Amino acid sequence: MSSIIKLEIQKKAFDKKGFSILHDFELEVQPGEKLSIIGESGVGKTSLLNIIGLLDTRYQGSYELFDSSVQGLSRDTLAKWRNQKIGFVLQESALIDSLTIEDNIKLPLMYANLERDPRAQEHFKRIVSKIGIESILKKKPLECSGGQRSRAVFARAVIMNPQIILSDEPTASLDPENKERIIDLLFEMNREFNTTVITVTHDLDVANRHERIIKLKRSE
Amino acid sequence: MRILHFFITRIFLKRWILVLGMILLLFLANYLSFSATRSIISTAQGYQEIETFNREGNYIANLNPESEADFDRIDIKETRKLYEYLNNNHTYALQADGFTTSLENEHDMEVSFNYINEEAYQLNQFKLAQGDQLNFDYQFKQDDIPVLIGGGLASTYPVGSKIEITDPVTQQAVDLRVQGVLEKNTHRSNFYAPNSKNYYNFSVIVPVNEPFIQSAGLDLHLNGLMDIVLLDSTKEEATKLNEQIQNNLGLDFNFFSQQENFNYFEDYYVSSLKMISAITLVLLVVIVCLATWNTLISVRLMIKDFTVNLLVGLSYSKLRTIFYSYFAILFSINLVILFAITAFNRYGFWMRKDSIFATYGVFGLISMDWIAFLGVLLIDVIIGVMIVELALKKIKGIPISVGVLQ
Amino acid sequence: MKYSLFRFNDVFEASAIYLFCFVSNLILMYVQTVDLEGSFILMSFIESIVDYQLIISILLTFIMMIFHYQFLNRRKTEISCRILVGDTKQKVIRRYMLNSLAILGFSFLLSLSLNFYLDLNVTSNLYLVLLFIVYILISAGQVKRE
Repeated sequence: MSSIIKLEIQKKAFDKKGFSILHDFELEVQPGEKLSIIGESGVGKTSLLNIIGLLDTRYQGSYELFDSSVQGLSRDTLAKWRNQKIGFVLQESALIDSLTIEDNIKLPLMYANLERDPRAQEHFKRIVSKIGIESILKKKPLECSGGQRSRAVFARAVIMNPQIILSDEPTASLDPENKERIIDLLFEMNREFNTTVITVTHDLDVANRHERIIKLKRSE
Repeated sequence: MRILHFFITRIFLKRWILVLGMILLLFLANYLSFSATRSIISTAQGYQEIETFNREGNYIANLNPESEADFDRIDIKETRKLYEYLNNNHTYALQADGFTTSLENEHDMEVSFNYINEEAYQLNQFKLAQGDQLNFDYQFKQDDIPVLIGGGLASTYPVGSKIEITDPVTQQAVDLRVQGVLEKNTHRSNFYAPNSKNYYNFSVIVPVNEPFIQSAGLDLHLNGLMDIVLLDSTKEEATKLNEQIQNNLGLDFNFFSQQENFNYFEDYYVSSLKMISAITLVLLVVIVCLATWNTLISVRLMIKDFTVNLLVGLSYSKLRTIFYSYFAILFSINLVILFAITAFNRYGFWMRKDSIFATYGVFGLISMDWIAFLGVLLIDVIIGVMIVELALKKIKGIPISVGVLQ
Repeated sequence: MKYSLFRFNDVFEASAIYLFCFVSNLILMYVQTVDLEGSFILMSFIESIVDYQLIISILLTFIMMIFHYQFLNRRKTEISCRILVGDTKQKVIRRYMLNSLAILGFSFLLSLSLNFYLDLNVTSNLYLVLLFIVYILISAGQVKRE
């Protein structure tokens, strides 16, 4: 089976002084794989996730995603892929405070021009019902609890049925019950749609539930 | 369009104070550039008109501002004598504006009579919308006087019609025959204040010949003298004339040659225009700095909104388009306000029956206003590009993953 | 400064805005006293601006409103933290008002030197001071925590 992600980083400079955080790093991920990335703070976990998620293209190396080289793709194409093929599950605060939960979740639909598409609407209803956030759809993020906000972030990440879900410390500020719920939802997506899940976490308990763990180390 | 609508209603307008602040700053920039551009255009227009008189051998009169003039002691006999001298020894262009009188017309405007001799008329012939050019060989007191009228009087007094009136300068009953209708917004700029103009939309242009001048009152004699232009003359002749004026009327005139006028224009107009441009530039820079500050603050407060959208599929190029469209809307709002104010000011002259400033134009604005609007548009484009590019540079400088968690 | 929401940059920014408003108002007043009879073109251009002196000066003060708005928005987290560690909202508001008034007073006093230099009445900027006090009062109502 061909890899969905083939990444080779020779060097990723962190700042203008050229301080390098990722170098001589290689990663291959198969479709449907559950992968977690762990490591101490400042080792470059989030930077790696940004590169995989097409948020950062400033590094030396090569990156093939869905059998296409990412280098040379226009910013518009990168944005389109982020919209349609990748879902980001970030911490609960990654919502726009001035929009309702519903509007926040539907944001990717707007960029895909699917806002009024009946199938997309149906999909939206299915997801919010599955995640159990129907009651907060008309609320603003600041009127919701941390768990509810995390679930809303998750709903936004999966609304486009992405092939890859990238999650960065998705459970960092959650209680055990909500933590369990988010992890279950992630893996359910993986089971149902063969979605690739890549999770950056500090939590070994969460990491151990993935098929493969990558530990990033500071170079000597 | 939907994305733009979303950004405007759900992101920008949520912080309406910043939007309002930006509109106010951009309005100040627009108003300032509009005033400056219009001043420059108006001066340039006036200068072009003056150039038709400022030729080699021509001497333009100007009452010496440092001399003491006592108009009350001047007698009509002396001015008649002076015009006799002028007729015998000089060719001169005479034009005197602003003798108002009441003459019935559909807009109830006060009508101003403007007198012009053949030499002045030949130098600067008016463009006509209807009828024929003026002729000056009529017999005063016997023939009807052929006149040109402004566009605002054309419907009341069509070409060929007769106007019976007491002439304001001769105080005699005269019959005027409408020979032609001036093009709308025909105007004359003042010689030494070229940005101020008298519009002839409610004027009657009366051709004057020697008998007419001799029959005219003191007002026309003195008024005509103020802007008189000696044609094909010499400095000596001009000096002699000045002596005559001094002896007869006690007034001291300067007669400036072409070179002297050029020097004066160079000193006065160019330095004034340079000053206007410098003031405008400095103020524009200050306003643009404030607008940039306002934009950077907006970016700082809205960075999460921008980056979350970038995260879920908005591209930087789309964001750039959104910013340009947003600023285009802000500039359009300002241009509409500026347009309304300008149109209202122009309309105000009609309301106040201020006939020498009442003008015709598309939506009430005359060509000078429209050109100034084009200038403003150009400046807006420059300001817009600067602000948007700076804002995008700032947004791009903040990593998306940092921005979303702000 | 320990208890204040204002950092040096904020004080500098606020003073600069106050001074900008005062100085522009004074310049607009001053050019009305300058004899420009010798230059009709320049005079009519400047008249087209100074005729609206009051409106322009008041419009410019709106920049200060923007300052208060963005400042308090950026300080929401800090206000929350202060309240968490034992401060009260009332005290924060009181200190915010006092600090703002002090910056306003300092800028006004500084602008007086231009009044003297241009030989203008010292009360020329007073109406702006009143307006700025109103802005401070309005913005004090916006002191909120996250």
